[in-house]
Amino acid sequence: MTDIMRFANPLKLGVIGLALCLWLDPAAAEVVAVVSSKSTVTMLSKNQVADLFLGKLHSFPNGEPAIPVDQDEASSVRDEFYSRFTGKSAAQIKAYWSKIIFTGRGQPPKSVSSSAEVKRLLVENPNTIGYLEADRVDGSVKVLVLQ
Amino acid sequence: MSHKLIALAWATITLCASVARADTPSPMFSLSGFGTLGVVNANADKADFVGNFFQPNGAGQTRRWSADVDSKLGVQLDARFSDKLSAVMQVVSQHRYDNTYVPQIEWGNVKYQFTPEFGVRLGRTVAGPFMQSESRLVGYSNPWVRPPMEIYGMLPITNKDGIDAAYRFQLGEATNAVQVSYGESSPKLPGGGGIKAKNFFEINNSIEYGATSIHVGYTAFRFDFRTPGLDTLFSGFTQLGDALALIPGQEAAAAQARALVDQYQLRNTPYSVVSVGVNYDPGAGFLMAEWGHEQSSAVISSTTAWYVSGGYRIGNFTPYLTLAQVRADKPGTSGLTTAGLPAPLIPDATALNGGLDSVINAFMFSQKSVSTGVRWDFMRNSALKLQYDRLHTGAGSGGRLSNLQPGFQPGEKINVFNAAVEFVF
Repeated sequence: MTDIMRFANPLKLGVIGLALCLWLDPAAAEVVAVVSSKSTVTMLSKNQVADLFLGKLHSFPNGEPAIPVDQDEASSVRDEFYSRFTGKSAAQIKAYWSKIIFTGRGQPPKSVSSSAEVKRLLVENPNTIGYLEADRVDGSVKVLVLQ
Repeated sequence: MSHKLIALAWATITLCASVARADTPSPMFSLSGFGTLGVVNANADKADFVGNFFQPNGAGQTRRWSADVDSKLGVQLDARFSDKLSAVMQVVSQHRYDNTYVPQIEWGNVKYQFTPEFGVRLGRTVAGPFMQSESRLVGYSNPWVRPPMEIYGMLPITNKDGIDAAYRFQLGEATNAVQVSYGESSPKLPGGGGIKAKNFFEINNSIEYGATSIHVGYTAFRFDFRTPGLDTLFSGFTQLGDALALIPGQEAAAAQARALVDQYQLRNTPYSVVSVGVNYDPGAGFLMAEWGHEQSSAVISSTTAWYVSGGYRIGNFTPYLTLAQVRADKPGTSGLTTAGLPAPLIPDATALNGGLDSVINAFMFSQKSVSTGVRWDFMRNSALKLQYDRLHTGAGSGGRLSNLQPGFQPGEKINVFNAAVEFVF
């Protein structure tokens, strides 16, 4: 009996630890597409968000130019964003951009190193569109409603 | 014209760079690159498996294993002088016609983006009507080791010098891009010789909607194709015609010899390719197909080709399967009628007829293949691909094989093993 207890305790701890890790892991937080709180844009389709970040679309439906801002290539929020909005992995997105870059047709969006940086750019220029973890949303940004 | 255009493009780049330096602190320059390190093994004894039409040798009879077929390195400098004005210079080193890796300018152009939707490029830009024409050298961007040769071999020329206009617009939720270009191209051939393509016109249209894209392309030009062998053959017919013209009663034969030169010589020969491609890539996998028809004349057979390719992504691994075929419509010829020729000229005429036949056979590209492989995205910006091709050349044809030696058996089945590491930076 005591032997079983000795086994059960580390097992239980392990499960709790794993759950904690998943909860703390920023990759597990939902990623949302955001614009500046001053922007008049409120709603976009998932496809439109994807097209803006893939360089297929250059303006919002209201005609205002759109400036997408990416997060760092090594960040999990970026992988999460592309997987949710385009259904593509980091490698597929890289392959997609290498097609565009090496045909001289364009360059990927500028990327910044943190969600705080994204928010700073959104405040600076209301035409910017970015993405961040849902728990990083504050009054300076507006979460886009997906049609 | 081509050198002038490149020079003009370069002058504009440097001029713009100095202007941009004057009014903004930093014009944006970005440097990027791509490459493939690949080896190929082909069990062909009397021919070589090559990566493109311009390579003088490859894997097969020259050497069983070759690193020359796919290995390449490309470096690209992008310059953005303003919202509207930008320039691109891409230099690629790959196994080329003279058996060296001397870098060549793949793209070198200046773009003026009049509106976000409409831009014009001047200089060296893409050539090709196919779905992956623009990125055919960038292995990392494609699922396979190389785009299927059955289709992509229809137009081995990858760039041209001229003007190129692109217009992109929304069609509801779909994006449509149309590109029209005009120029010329003059690549060199192995063994001394070259192609001069003039009045090189292209129109490409692609529609993308979500995971689906549809591409339609059309290329047309007139070209001269010279090699020492072809020159010898056609000057032989010309001389025979001249000799026959001096012999009373041989006027008809003389006219026939000269007509053969006009009919089969590759001078100002029209060439066109039309192609349709579909790509469905929802993320978890892809399904791709292209069909093309090449309309040619003279000694070159017209061809029709297609491929279907599919892959499924399992984590970082993407196994894929491709079926492809190119079929040729061989131009019929009986050569010069030898019956009735003066006896001393018959051996010459017979030899020339034989030469013409073998040239026509050499320009008849017919083959089918099954390829299966796996792409492994083993680290950021790099992928490893392993691929096996089972290739079957058509009756009487060497297919896309090159460097055919005496004793080559048309209709041969060949196994090709490929391994390639592809990267971008």
